[in-house]
Amino acid sequence: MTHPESQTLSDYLDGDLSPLEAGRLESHLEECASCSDLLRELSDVRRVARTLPERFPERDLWPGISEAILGEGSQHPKVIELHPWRQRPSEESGRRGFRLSYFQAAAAGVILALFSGAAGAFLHGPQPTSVGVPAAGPSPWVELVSQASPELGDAAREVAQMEVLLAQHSDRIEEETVRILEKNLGIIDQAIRESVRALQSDPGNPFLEKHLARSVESKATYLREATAFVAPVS
Amino acid sequence: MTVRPKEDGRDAELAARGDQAAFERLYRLHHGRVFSLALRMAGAQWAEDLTQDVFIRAWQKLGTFRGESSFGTWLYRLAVNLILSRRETLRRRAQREAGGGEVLDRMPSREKPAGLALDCEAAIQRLPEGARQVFVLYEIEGYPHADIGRMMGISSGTSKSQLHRARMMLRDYLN
Repeated sequence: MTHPESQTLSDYLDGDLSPLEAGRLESHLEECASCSDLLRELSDVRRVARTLPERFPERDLWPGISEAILGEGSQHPKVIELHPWRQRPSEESGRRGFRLSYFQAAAAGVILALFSGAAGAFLHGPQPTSVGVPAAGPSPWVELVSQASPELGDAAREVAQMEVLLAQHSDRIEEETVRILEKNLGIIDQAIRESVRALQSDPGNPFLEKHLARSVESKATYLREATAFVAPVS
Repeated sequence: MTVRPKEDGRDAELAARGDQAAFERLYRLHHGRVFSLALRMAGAQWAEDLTQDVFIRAWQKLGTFRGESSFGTWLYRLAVNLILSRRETLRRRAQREAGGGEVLDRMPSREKPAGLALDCEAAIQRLPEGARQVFVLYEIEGYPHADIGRMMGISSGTSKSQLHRARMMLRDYLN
């Protein structure tokens, strides 16, 4: 028998040869040291690979995951039933049906406080909760996020538009609902502030951009659902 | 790795109802294997981000977990699909950041395997993308070629060829 293709040795190793093919190869291996050596080396590769130890990240990733899933539901969610007439006909709300947690509904009030402040105030910490109509003109928050990560400009503008919509219907949000969830939303807003600050020092850092994008998207998700809750379909 | 299907299933049920503490337990139990998969499939540069994304996606999709397989099996399949779906994005980003260089990253992790295992880890990272991913899915994760073919959009024969190519290259690296 001539030397088999090396692929045949892999197939033999994996038990993919027919009994006849395997028998022929075994006969050859008894007489061919180079093919036997190659088979042994391929087998060694497989053995080492199958006993590789598990690896672990250098830092605890759970805080970032927890932050990101915060908007997906709290540990013991209390659910408010939405009336169909309040539901916006968006794709997102269509998937989720007519239910919104206190957490998501409260975003309306809290975000007004978090987003309607001046740029400097935004970067220097959370503002006292106050539900009101944002000042006319471009939001300083939008400008900061857009400058930090230009790709987020559209998302930031969408957020700003929803802020205005929410402000127009802010009387539908209960103060207690806002209070319960302000603490949780503050965590996300802190992440946005830190990302903006960090990107100002390290523009274009992909990790920071991704982190900022994820946080902004969380805000946008809350706002979409919150506007679906407080604003009637026009 | 310790697999606890019963506890997994209970925690998955709780997590699907919004229990973040249960989901954190699932994370603690499985994050090593998910991180290892991301590290070997995509490289150290993206492993942490991918691991986070896998668990975020898992949280979002917990409602689709029916308990027909163990939570771990479901999670790892989800992880593989997510990592494979990001191939093109990661490739572009790596090329942009490396000025057109190959998609590779050599950053070591804190818990380094010793000896031959370390050599093998480093050698896996040097494999071409397709061969590396097939090798990891077949040899380390234990998926059959048919499944790998479906997940990667290639034939079983191509999967076998890539596996053999990876073995031959690793054999050269390790000898």
